[in-house]
Amino acid sequence: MSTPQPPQPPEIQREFTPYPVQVIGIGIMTLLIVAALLGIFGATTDTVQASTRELTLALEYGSRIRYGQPQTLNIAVTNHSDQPLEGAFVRLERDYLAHFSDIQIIPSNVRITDDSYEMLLDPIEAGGARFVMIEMRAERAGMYESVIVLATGEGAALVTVRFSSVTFP
Amino acid sequence: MDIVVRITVIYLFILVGMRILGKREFGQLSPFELVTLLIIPEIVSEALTDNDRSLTAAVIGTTTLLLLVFITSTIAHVSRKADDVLGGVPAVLIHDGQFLEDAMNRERITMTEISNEMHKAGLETLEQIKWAILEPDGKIAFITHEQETLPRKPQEERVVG
Repeated sequence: MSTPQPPQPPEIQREFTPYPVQVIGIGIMTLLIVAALLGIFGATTDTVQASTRELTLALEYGSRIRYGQPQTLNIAVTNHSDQPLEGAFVRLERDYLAHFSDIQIIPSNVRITDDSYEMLLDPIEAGGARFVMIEMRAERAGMYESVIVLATGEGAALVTVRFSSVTFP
Repeated sequence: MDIVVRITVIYLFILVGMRILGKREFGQLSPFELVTLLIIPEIVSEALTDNDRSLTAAVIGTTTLLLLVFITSTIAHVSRKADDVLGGVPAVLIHDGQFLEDAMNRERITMTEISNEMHKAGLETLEQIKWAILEPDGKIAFITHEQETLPRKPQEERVVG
């Protein structure tokens, strides 16, 4: 026996008839979601490097960063010459690091000056390499450029690498 | 970006969960159900955003949710079947003063609950009730014999002058 049913209301022709402003709004929202799915707002990593006949300075960095997310700068210095490299350091501008918090530099042999952080490198054997890793958390939205310099002794630049990052709010 | 996927999955999961829970829970929450619904956001909140506290994630997450709600409501409007599946269908609990026990058991409604709702509606006896319907929003609607046989009002005479 079927369950008795109360009288039903008349059915209308069911159609999708949005307001024009709804169509615009939904279109924009859909584009935003598609862009997000395509990774346009996602974090990305780039690499950049510069070389001389004897040295290579390579940097892996976050080119697109999300606010509050951890980031890592990986710096590699390779000595191609047949002589060991001593007294070298990698200089990074303080202005760039000011956009980040929870900064940890590994190895922690760092000299801080008025305008830069200088990561002191142990001697690099001929054909060898040294690595520096900077872990940090993005704290300011915006686009900012910086430069990483490999230098020795008095601070004369041997190799320079430019890079820029965008932090989404 | 995975926040879109995360929110879509959680939205569908909660939507299905709410439908499984049943209609009654929307109209009247028992302490157990209230605790359940309070705990769910705590459990899923971190899964939704993966600790991403950026404004970008908040905007994209909210947009995803709004778009899902819009799509769901549009599908429910355009398709009667989808409307029934997503929103639920009314369940008749009493017909002509007789309890329909199968429906009451399916919806987990007791006679005491119906009695309470009858009193709130100003009804004393089952015989007064033509239909008692558990609506998709969880509320029980009563239609009395008097309401069903109520004569239409004659059109008011127009007074001229």
